[in-house]
Amino acid sequence: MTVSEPIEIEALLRESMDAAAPPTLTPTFTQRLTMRLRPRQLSAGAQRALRFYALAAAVVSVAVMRSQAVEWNLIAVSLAVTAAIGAILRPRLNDNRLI
Amino acid sequence: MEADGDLVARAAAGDEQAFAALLERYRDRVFRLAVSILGQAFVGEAEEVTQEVFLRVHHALKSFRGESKFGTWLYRVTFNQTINLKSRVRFNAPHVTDDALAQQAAADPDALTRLERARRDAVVAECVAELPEAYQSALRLHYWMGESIAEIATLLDVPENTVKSYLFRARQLLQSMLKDRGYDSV
Repeated sequence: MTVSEPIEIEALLRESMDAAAPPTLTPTFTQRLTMRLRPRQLSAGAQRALRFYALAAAVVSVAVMRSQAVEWNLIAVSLAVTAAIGAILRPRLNDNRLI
Repeated sequence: MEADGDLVARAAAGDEQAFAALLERYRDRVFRLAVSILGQAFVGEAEEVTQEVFLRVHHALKSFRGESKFGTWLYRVTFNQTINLKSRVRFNAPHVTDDALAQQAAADPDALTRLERARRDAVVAECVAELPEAYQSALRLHYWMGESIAEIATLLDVPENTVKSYLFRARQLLQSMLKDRGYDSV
């Protein structure tokens, strides 16, 4: 078979590329995508543990700061700043559905 | 059938059913476009691109202003995402040795013809991979996946005459590339 005529290159392409069946998505495609789209939520137990950890960290921080004779005003400011940063970041973390 | 615009608005408002409907409507076309750009040996990679495209689109739905059709936007995202991947990763079609081809052909009664065809198909695939991206995509969509000119025009976001011109130029280039490789007669 020659490929020097336009009609023949057409036929060659049809024969050559048509040999492989057109591809299809795997049956689990939608399921896998849905799992990646679902918001990552911590279990109730993990959320409780995280809250307990945050509270314990705050209590220990206050105790350490007091032991170093840090004034209550300064302790209140540092806790307020930490709480404010947490409040700002929380919606973003909740919205982190991708990647 | 619900219009794309309505589904997009609902999906942007958090309606997962609406997004599922859009996914159902477009996933195969997005996949075919990706695989047409990457090539026959990279179906798995094309599926990964399809996943990434829908993840991106899901994330960006709120910012979609409807200045173009949803499908047009989606195909543009797909094209760019696939081209980006292709430029970052060098996609080389797996080399098939003559031994492997001969083994494959040996089981067939007409082994020699099979071997010749396998060799010829490998050369054609190699030549196609050297064409400009848009030509490769148009060729694979048309000859491999059997898409119409109109459908290819939609996927590539170009007029139908441009698709015809892509196919014509691609065939001309292929013809001279095959000649250069000694395939005046196959």
